[in-house]
Formats: sequence, C-alpha cells, structure tokens
Amino acid sequence: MMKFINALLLTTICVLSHAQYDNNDSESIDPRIEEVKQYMWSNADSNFLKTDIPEKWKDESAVIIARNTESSVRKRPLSSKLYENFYFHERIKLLDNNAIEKYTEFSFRENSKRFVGLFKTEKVDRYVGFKIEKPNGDVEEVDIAEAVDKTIEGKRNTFSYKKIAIPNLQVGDIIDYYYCTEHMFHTGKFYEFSPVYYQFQEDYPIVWQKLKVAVLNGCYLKARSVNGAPSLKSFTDPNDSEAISYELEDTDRDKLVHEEWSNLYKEIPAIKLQLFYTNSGILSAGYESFYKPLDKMTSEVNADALSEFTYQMIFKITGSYSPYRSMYNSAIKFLKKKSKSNNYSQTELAKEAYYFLREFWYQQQFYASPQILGYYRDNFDSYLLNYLMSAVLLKLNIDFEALYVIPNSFTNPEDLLFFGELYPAIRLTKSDSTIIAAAGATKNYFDMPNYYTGATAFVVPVNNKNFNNFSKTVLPEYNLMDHKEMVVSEVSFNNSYDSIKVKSRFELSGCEKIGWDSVMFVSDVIRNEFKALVYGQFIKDKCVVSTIKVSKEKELAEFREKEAKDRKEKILAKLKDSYGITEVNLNDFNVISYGRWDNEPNLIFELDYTIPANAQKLGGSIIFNTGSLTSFHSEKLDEKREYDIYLPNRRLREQRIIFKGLNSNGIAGLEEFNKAYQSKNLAFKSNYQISGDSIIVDATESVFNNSLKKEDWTEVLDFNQIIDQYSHVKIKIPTIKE
Amino acid sequence: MNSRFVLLAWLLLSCLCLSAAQYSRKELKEKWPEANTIIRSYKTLISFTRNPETKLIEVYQQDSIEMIPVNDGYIERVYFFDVNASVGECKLRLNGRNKRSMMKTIANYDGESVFHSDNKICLFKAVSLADDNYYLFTGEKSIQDIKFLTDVFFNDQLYPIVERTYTIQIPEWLELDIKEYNFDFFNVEKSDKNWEGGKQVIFKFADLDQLNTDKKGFLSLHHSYPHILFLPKSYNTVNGNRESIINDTRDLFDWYKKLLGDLTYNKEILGPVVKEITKDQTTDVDKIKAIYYWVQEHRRYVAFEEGLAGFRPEKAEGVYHKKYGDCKGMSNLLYAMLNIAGYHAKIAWLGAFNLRYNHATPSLAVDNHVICYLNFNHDDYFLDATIKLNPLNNNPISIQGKEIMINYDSTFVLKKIPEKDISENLKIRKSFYNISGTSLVGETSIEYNGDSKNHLMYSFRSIKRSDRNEFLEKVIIGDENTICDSIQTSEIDQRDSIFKIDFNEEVKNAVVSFGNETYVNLNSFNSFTMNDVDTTNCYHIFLNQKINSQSEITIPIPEDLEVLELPENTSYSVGAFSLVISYQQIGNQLICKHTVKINKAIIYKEDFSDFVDFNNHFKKIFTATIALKNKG
Repeated sequence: MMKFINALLLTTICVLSHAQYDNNDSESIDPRIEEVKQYMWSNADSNFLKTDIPEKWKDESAVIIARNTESSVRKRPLSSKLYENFYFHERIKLLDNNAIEKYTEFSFRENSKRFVGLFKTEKVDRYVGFKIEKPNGDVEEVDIAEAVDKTIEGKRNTFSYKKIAIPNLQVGDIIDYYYCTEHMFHTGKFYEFSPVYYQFQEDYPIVWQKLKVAVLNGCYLKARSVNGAPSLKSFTDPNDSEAISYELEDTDRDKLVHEEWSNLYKEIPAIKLQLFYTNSGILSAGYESFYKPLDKMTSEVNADALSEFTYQMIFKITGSYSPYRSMYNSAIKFLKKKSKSNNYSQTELAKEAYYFLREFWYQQQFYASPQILGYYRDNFDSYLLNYLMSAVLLKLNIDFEALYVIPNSFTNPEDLLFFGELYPAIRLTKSDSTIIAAAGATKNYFDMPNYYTGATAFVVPVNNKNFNNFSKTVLPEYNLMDHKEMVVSEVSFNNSYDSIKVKSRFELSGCEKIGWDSVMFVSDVIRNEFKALVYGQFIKDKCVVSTIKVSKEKELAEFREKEAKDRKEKILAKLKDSYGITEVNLNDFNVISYGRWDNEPNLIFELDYTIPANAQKLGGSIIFNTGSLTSFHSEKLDEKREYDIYLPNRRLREQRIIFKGLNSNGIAGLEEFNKAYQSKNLAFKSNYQISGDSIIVDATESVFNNSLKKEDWTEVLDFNQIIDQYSHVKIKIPTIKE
Repeated sequence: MNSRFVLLAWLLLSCLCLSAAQYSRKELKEKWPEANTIIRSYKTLISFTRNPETKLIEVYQQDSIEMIPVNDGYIERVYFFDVNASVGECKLRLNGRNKRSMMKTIANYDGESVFHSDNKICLFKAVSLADDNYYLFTGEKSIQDIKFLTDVFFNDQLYPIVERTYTIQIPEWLELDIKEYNFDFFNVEKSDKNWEGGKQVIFKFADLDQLNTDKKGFLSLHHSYPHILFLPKSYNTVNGNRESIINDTRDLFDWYKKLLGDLTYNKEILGPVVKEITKDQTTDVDKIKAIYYWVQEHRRYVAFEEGLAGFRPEKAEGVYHKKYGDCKGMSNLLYAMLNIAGYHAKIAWLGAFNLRYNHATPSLAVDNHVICYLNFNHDDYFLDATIKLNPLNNNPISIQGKEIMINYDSTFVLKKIPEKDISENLKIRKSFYNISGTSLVGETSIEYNGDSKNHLMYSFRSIKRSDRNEFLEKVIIGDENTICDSIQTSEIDQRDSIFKIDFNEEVKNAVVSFGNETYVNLNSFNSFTMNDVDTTNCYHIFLNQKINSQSEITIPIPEDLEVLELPENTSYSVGAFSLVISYQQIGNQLICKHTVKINKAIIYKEDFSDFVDFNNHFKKIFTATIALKNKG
C-alpha cells in the first residue's frame, strides 16, 4: 500500500528529479523545441498577455498573473508504450527583491533516454523557455544556450542538468516561463500514475489559472475537488479531438496564510487527481479493483476491493517467500503454547499476540543475524503490524474486523480518492472492541494514533476465516483523560537566592507521553525487560537462530552507553523546547515506568535539576518570575484568524509547584496565582495554598475539544492570555529572615 | 626517484607507525561522541616533479588515511579539484589488507552563493560496520602547475583526526616557502630534515576536530583553523637555468595581469549608454556616482568562477549584454564605463574579509575578489559593483581594512581600504513609554548608520514585503514580550541618508506592583544578540560590524508614584568592549540611557576572556530594576 500521497505542488516543477538516466539525446528533438515554444507562447491563453494586477495585491511579494497546467496520458494502440505529457506555463509579476531572488536562477533536467529491456527504452524530453517583460513593454527572451552544464557522474550513470541565470530582473518585471516534459515508457497490464494534489492557492496570489487533463486509449482519470475548489468539466479539444479532455478555470485566489494550528488539507481549495491505465478495461481483484468503476473520469472509489485486498495481504505476509514468515510462525507457536496452558479469552490472546510481535521485532538488534530478512530495511509500522496481527488472528480463528481508516486530518471521508489515504487498524469484535493500530517499542496494544480519533473507517469483517463485504463505522472520540500530563515539582532556593533546585515527578499518558518517549526510552529497556519476560524466554529458547558474537555484544554495550549519555542531552533539549526551561544543570533522573505494558501504561519519571533563579535583587528581597518553573507557556498570537483551529490533541495537564523553605508571611504577589478561565472547549485554573513552610501552587489546563472553528478563536486568545498571565506571575520574596 | 617506490616506502613507514595511535576505541568515542568515523592516522605526502613538456612543476599528493568506524554506516572521502588538477587512483582496504569497493561520484561543486564554478568534488563512499577494525584509504591527487597549490588545511571536512602528519618533500631545485596560519591554539610540531633529494618539512598535529562552519558568529575557515600557504618562489630547470615562479609581489601582479587578459572595451556599444546615464549630472562626483549606481542596479551579480583560475573577467560589453556578471565582470564593465566617461578607473584585486592575508605574501590564495578603484581629485574611491544599493564612499564590511592591488598596466600600487570608524556605525534608539498596568506602552524610533544600516537594509530588502513587520518584531526587537505596530520606515531603496524606523510598542510584563511599591524592569532592552554565543571550540566571532549602539528610554512617573530607588549608574570597559548605563530622574520623568560599543568586527580567541567578561556585566546590568512607591 502506498503510504503517502504525493502532494505535488506544480509551481515547483523545475526541481530536479533524482531518477537516473543516461544517453543524452538532445540532437534528435530540435524541431520539437520550436513546436513546443510556439505552442506554449504563441498559442497561449489571452490571460498570458495581461500585465496588470489587482490593486488589492500591490503590496504582495509577487502575483501570479496566469498559470496553465496541462497533463495528458495516452497509450499507443498495439504497443506497450505509454505517453505522459506535462506542460506548465506561468506568468508572474515580481514586486519585491525576495521574489526576484527566487526567480533569478532555474535548474532543469536535460533530455534523457535509457534502455529498460532488450528492445525497450524509456525516454523523457524536456523543454523550457523564459522571457522577461519590462514595465515599458519590452520583452527579452532568455537565451537557453547561456545555461551552464552540470553533471553528477556515478560509476554507471551520469545525471546531467542545466542551470540558467535570468538576467536583468528588476522589481516590476514579469517573468513568463514554461517547462514541459514528454515521457514515453513501457507498461504492463496496469499502471497507476502518482497521485497529484493540485492546490489552488500558494505563497503568491493567483489572478487566473487553468488545469487541463486529457486521457486516451485505456487511460482513465480519477478526480475530486475539495474545499470548494472548482471541478473539471469535459470538453472537446479541437486540437486533440481523439482525446477525452477535461478542464477547469479558476480566478482571484489570495495567497495562502500560514497560521499556527491550521490544517491546510482542510482549508486550501484543491483537486485530487490520479491517472491510471488498464489493459482492455480489466482490473483484477483486490488492490487494482479499488480503481473501479472504469469510467473515463470518476470521483468514486470501490471499497469492495478492501475485502479481497486484506486477504491478499495476509496471504502475502505469511507466504513462503515473506521475510516476516519466521515472525509469524514464532507468534503462532508462542500463542498456541500459551493458550494450552492458560484459559485465555480471545482479547487476551490478541493482546499476547501484539506484545509478542512487538518484542520479537525489537529484540532483533541483539542477534548477529536478524531473523527477519527485512529488518534493517523496514520499520515495524502500523501496516506491518496490521497484516501480521490479522494473519495471527486468522490462524487462531479469532474473529476481527480489518479497518481502513480515513484520518480526518488528511481528508474528509466523502473526499476519499487515493488508496494511500487509507490507514489500517484491527478491531476485536467478540469482547471489548479494542482497536489495535499503533506499532512502536513504547506502544501498547490499545494505543491509537491521534489522527484516528473520530475518523470514519471502512470495516472488513473477518468471521470464521471468511472475508465479508465492507461496512462503514466511525471510530470513538478520545477523552481528554487519555492524554494526561501531571507534573509535581518541589522547589527550593539556595542560600543566596541565585539558583533553584527542582525535583519534578512526571506522569504522562497518550499523546502527552509520545513526546517524552523518544527522550527517555533507550534500547537497554527492551534488553532488560526482554530477559525478564515470558516473550523473551520463548524467543530465546524456541526461535533464536544465531546468537550474538562477543565482539557485537561489546559494540552494543558501547552503543547503550552512548544512548544513556545522549538521553541527558535530550532531557535538557526537551526541557528547553517544550517547557522553556534553560540553563539546566541536571543532577539526576530516574525512570519509574516506561509505560510499555497494559498494567502500567503511563510513562513516569523523576528529574532533579538546578536552574539559575534570575531574580532581581532589591535590598532585603528579590522579585522572582515564576515562569521558569511552569510548563504552561503562552504563544504570540494574531488577533485575526483565517482558518479553523486544530490544536494538537485533547488533553489534561496538571501541575503542582511546591515552594519549600519560604516564609509565606513576607511574600507578596501570591494572589496573582489565582486564575480561572472556562469556555466550552478550553479551561485553565490555578490557585495557591499555604501548608506549613510550603507554598503550593496548583494549575490545570484542559483542552476538551481540539478541533475548533475559526469563530472560536477568541476562546483561544482568552485562554492564551490567562496562561500568559500565569506564566509571568512575579512574587516578592524577603531574603532576610525575620 | 620513481614515485611509486616513494609511495611504497612511505606506506611501509606508515604501517610501522601504526602503534602511534594513543586512544582505545572507547576513548575515541568519548572524545568525539558525535562522530561516526574517526581518523586515527592521516598521512599526506606532497612531492614535486618538473614536467619537461609543459615546463610546469607538477604537484603530487598521496594520502594514507586509517579510519575507525564507530557506528555502522558509511565511510566517505572527498577530493576537490578543478581544471588544473585531477584525482588519481584511490583504494580502500579493510584492516589494510582486504580490498573494499567504493562508490565514486564526481559532481560540479558550486560553493555557497556561487552560481557556477569549475570546481568539482570527487566523493568516495563505502559501507562500514562498527565492529570492523579499521579501513585504510589511499588516494592520489595531482596539480598540473605548482602555482595552483595554494592553501592547505589540516583538519578533515568529515571526521576528527587523532594524528595528522603532513610531509612536504622539497627538492633541491625548488625554492619553496611555507607560511603558517592559526597554529597558536593547536597541538602541532614542525620539523625539518634532510632528504636525499632536498629537504622534508613535516607538520604533525594531534587531536584535530573536523571542520565546523555552523557555529554562530562563524566567518571563515581561514580565520579559525590551522593552515599553510605554499609560496613557490623559483626553480632550476633540468638545464640548470633559474626560473621564477611567484617570487614576490611583482610576480604575483604579472601573473594576475596575464590572467586579466585584454581589458579593451567596445566604445561604440558602451559610449551611448554612459552618455545617457550621465546626461543629467553636472559634477564629476555625480557622474561617477551615476555610473557606479547604474551598474549596481542594472546588472545582477551572479557568481561565476569558471574563468582561468577564477581570475579572467568577461568582456565589459559581454556583461552589458548578458545583464549579469561576477565580481570580475561587473568591475570590468564599471571600469570601462568610467573610462569612457573620462575617469581613469582601475581594476584592483583583493582578498575579502574571509581571508587573512596581504600582498606581502605572494600567493594566488591572497585574493578572491575584484573591485574597481578610482582616484579622482586626490580622493580614493573603492567601487564594489556587486553590492546592491551601496553608497559611494560607504565601503562594505566585506572589504574594509583589506589591502588592494591596483592594476596600473605596467605596474601596481598597493593600497589599504580604510576601516570604518566606530562612530560611523551609530545606531540610536529612543523610546518614550507610559506605565500601563503591567506593560510599558509608547513609541520608539531607531536610526541606523553605516554598517548597522547596511546590514539591516540588506535583510529588509531580501524578505517579502508582507513579512517586514514580523521581521522587525523578531529580529530587531527580539523579545517575546514586545508587540509592535504602526511600523513606519524611511525609504528602503535610498542610499545616502540614515535609515529610520518608527513604531508603537507595548512591552508586556515589564511592570509589577506589590502593595504600594511598583517595579519597572528594562531587561527587554537587552538587544545585543551575540551575548549567547558559545566560545568553546571556537576561534573567532564575527559581529558583522563594529557595534556602536545608544539607547534612551524616557518614562513619565505617574502622578500617584514617586521614585523609591534607582539602580546605580554603571560603566564597564575592557579592551575593545565598553558599556555605560545611567538612570536619572529629571522633573517627573525617568530617563535611562545606555551605550554599548565593541570596536572590532571580528573578535579573535585571544580576546575571548574580555568578551565573556563584557557579556557577564552586560547581562547583570540589564536585570536592574527601577523601584517606585505610592506618594504619601
């Protein structure tokens, strides 16, 4: 399955590709250079003759006056050759030096041709053209012959490209350029082109833009417009009457805005496109059939394909040639033995399967030859986990549901188009509906990625080893209690009030835990726990094929030593980046629980550190800014909001600061700790109390809902303001004892 | 002597010296925890031969490098070369015995802000495993003409080195001087010994970190790391005749002249252009200025380093037609246009601020820039056409204090470009605030002169117009508690007057009250951004300019308050650093003034203790607090 959608921003098409080609073939395409130039410049739309920009954009860095993108795919009859042509033309008015610097140099690939078989070639011809239009109307075409040749020579391949300087660019000029590729290659029965995510907004405003797609002979198009973008309309192209052509026009697009906590997938008008070819209109079952129905252009997907696809993936991962077969076999052996000796429920067996697979993967590093062929190449990710778990559950005859989740963060469920937009998970059906989705050394079997929360998913029920037809479901919303940070800090000044000694205890769960996992977790944890646990013993006794060499053991010991050293640095960096605590002298730390198991899923640790007090001394007292002790910090936010708000996750953060050894009678300013804010989505509350010789400050921050509408922005501002006030509380402390 | 035999003997010697490595693998990891590979021994042999066909002295470099992989990964080696050099056979052997294959890649290498150069990089890469003992890399590079053997650095680009040995075999027939730079802070031994064909000069370094250019305030390798310049003076031909190479500054000039080529220009093309540019100018200086500014504005600087050794400029009319050029080409166009206008401008070579040399050292390494020089009415004009919007007589920091070699056709003149006096870089900030709750709210005006103006305007011009306010807040104010609005600036494209910024400002959390006492803290005006620079493993700090900053903050005392206590007036001065701060009550106003001066643009390691002391005082002074109390 493809894991990512290529968000291909077509404005940057001159970026070099790293594909390896050779045999430059520039001489044979000379006549075509002029043809393409004619086509791109002489036959261009009348919008490419315009020079003015709307008054409202006069203070922008640059304005795109016109942009035209054309793409076509066609198959030659009775041949395996596929032709993919791409033509891009853009006209930009440059309004400041920043824009001039951006357009003052271009790099572009040279034509290339390579042999891919005995009589087969792959060929890419490329054409570029640049011209500058001055405010007085003078037009200066840039001589491509001035481009300098650049090469990267490898042992077998040479990568060649050209670099050209655009002369005499000045503020007020218009640069008009095109870049075209004509790509020919051979294909089999089915070929899918990379998914394209064409956005209608970018860093500069766009006055007019047009997109055209043409398909011929066995080629098909999937397209879906999102966030209010215009749709492609069918038309007959007089220059290409055989093709089925689609186009859209769009005007007056402001530049996109970069705002904190925004999700551009949800905001920017865009069109999703994917072209594909299939021989004689046949799509085989499983993955390919996801592309059904076979209309020339459709915005539908065929979720029926998921049932067969799931079956195929399980079959593949357990097959004789699968690198993961040993992992699968070991898990089955372990679970069969387990189920014999214990009366496990299906949920408990599934849990055991999860932890066994996790431990099996992460103990590989302790062997001279890993038992998994793809160990050094692959990651233990949710895809691998999902299909291995599915295979194990199937073998153990445990009913489950294979889920294909459409994360809300990336697309609305109704806008699903690409296969790569689906993310896998497993749901147990017979008992507690646990969803298994998260893979990782510190993950638990019930952990679920944040972006799955409230997401729509396709469900493929697997009952009695039968793969049934899909249905749809909505995954549960997270509770803020699932993502909790609790920090208790004991604080004391040194005698001269220059520094503060802090002893903090952190307890973290859910997403709040993830940020610290990568700091606190070291491979020694697996090693120590592996030795002590039943999984490790089984793997050692029953599965090990080669033991580690003494020299490797030594290397690993040194590696662990380095990891331990690095951990200190990471703790300091984390305190600085997430809590704004700097100049830390870390005296000691102690991890109480790594939160890797279901009986103690929280990460719990203690830090003992010293920081400068940075207090202002005034005769017999100091003014101390308590902000250096709090984990709550405000952001500098604009009053205006353009887009909806997506805070990282629902969460609850509790903090207690215990000032020790202060005479509370003489301290001024403590009442400033009493703050409260509550809205429908956000809340903050803090207060103080005096207990013996201690002053205790408690603060709680709650994010009840992390997806907010832009109309809720004032809530965020008010919430931010109260945190700002809290994090700047200053207290006056007498330094001369009464 | 047969060069292969020399190499064999030398490799043998290298093997015998293996025991010199002093550290265990564990100690190496502790010493350089970030390194994936550590070089335990890096030996280079430089030898010379006379090529009877080319009549040039060729240089052979033979490297033998023992690398210890600390982690699984790759071992890499690089050679840089150009049209005057080539990379020979390179091999990699595990534990010095078993040959290992390497992936070889050759690519154009355009340095930072260079559009195109003829420099190339030859990269060798091989997989390495942490439990391998060591890898022996042997490689060769040759340079076809000794003149192009210029500067050599001893630190490695990629890995730390335990022991570095650099041996130069100077034959009797060659007169070669070697000049050392930045040796003071490194563990180095130099020895000379006789060798059968002449003498050997050997440099031995211990514990060299890899080259690191990422540090804040870093200017250049030449200001930091130990290196030598090769100064080949003369040699005896095989026939016994003495031939000069670059014996002195005159020879260097002659070589430059040869490379400079024909400076003639096409008056028919450029004449009308010059006439048009100067048609409205009445005085000579205005005409010079008009031509200088026209080239700056109408021809774009694009760095090409492809001419013969990077010194041959493009023809003036070529730059005129192409509308861009490198420093040589743009200076050549300016030279031609000024001469057409009747001003006897000259071409001049210099080493820019990233180099540390002058022309008393006759080497091609001392110069890397070309400008146009004009003496008119006994005034010197140093015209760098590559700097956009640079005013006449306002020499950029990149060439201040540098010696130029001026081409007077048959001879040359050396002249030093004056350094700007610190008074020319004055930055004045004036703020008027009212106390408003926990904030200070008011107006601020900042004026920039000299280099302080040049730097700000360069940055200001290069960012998007729509990002300028944000830039001001983040870079100029640099304090998260400060909010600016209504930002007004003087004309950004003007050259000849001060640059001024006015804005409204709210400094949050600057005021706190406890009962009848109110405290005002001016810590947020600590705007000297280099005070957090890390001076460890650092050999210089580049400040961009000599700093001369004055601030005056006026705060009316609210009617219901009076002064309880003002911080003490303080001054501090050490070496090139000084700081004066004063607090006064005049009438019902509090006035805080401070002046910060650093009379050096580059602070070298020997001044670091002064710099650290200065920073400590700076931080301490700026935490002072003004105490007010309720009246009555």
